[in-house]
Amino acid sequence: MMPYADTSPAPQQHDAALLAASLAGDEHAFTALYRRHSASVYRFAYLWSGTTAIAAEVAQETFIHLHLRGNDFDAARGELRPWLLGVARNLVRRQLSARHAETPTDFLDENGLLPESLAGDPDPRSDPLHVLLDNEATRELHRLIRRLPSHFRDALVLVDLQEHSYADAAAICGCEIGTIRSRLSRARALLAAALTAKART
Amino acid sequence: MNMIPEDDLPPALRARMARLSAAVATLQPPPALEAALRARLFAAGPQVARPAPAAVMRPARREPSLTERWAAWCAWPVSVAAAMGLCSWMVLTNPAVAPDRADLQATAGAGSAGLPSGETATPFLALAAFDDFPAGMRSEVVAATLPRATLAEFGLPVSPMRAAEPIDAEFLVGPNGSVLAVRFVDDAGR
Repeated sequence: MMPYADTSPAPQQHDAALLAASLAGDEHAFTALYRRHSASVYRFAYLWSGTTAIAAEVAQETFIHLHLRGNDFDAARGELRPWLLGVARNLVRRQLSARHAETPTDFLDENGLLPESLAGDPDPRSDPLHVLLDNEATRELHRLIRRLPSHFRDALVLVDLQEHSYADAAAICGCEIGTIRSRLSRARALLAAALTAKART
Repeated sequence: MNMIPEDDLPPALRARMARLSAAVATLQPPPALEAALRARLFAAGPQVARPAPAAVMRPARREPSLTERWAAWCAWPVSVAAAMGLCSWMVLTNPAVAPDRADLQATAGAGSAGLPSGETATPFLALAAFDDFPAGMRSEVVAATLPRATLAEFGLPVSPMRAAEPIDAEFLVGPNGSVLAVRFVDDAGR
């Protein structure tokens, strides 16, 4: 059995210990860290960019950065996950500016299909039209989130969609907690206004 | 978990965001990604020298030497002192600001002869017609102190900043007590 394969957080070694082992060349420690945090990084990048291709690339580059520059992480200043998400945040911004794709236009993946996991759990009793409308509504919401200014998008994705604490979101974005609060409030207001305007049309 | 105030987020939007969040929560990175990373990072064994990717690395900062630190500390005071010195020189040599001494020196010539060093004087300026200056006339020099603004009455420039200061003057007085001429003496030490 491969060590560190458990992905539940409680009984595992602390991230800092795993990182130290990983930096010393322990492949299993690196794998454990990857399995513990990669999904969070991937989802953040997906919510931010809207494409699974960019999300996968960002996740890969984030863990390469962890492997190469893990010594920059200071456990005394916070947990590893916010640090990783901070790296991912910088990378996804660079990816989007490099591709001139600040706002991908759809919620579909690179194959043009809605990922099954995003279709939710349709109630079998619901009629197909309702499921379709619900998916369309979700896609529309994600589309509008991706059109938010980047600072507001950060706050909304991290706090409302990924349920990070304000403190973690502030650490990821490198700003004060109060700044996150105000950005989140502004993002919600913009989103609500956009949805209302969309509903009228 | 963060509490989202109801008045901050409309219920309909709240529900839609919950659906989006729940849907995305099931997303996983491609399974091949883990294997690709491990192969890329560990296939060649432990890496000792690890160059950082240019996209996210910060440039390494070289520790400045003692001389460079000293120069950096001194640069500002030296610059400020040099700027102040330059400004002072420009002000003091500007005739529009301090014209008295320069003009007095320019007009001084024979008038300064016999004066103590550091003093300049204008030539005697006539206050009476030449007819009142008979050859061999005995006259006396009477020293006085006048407001510097008096210079303006004789067409000499006066700095407004020094107009209130006094200036020494010497009057040439004839035997009958009439004032024949005047010259202004500027003491450089004043």
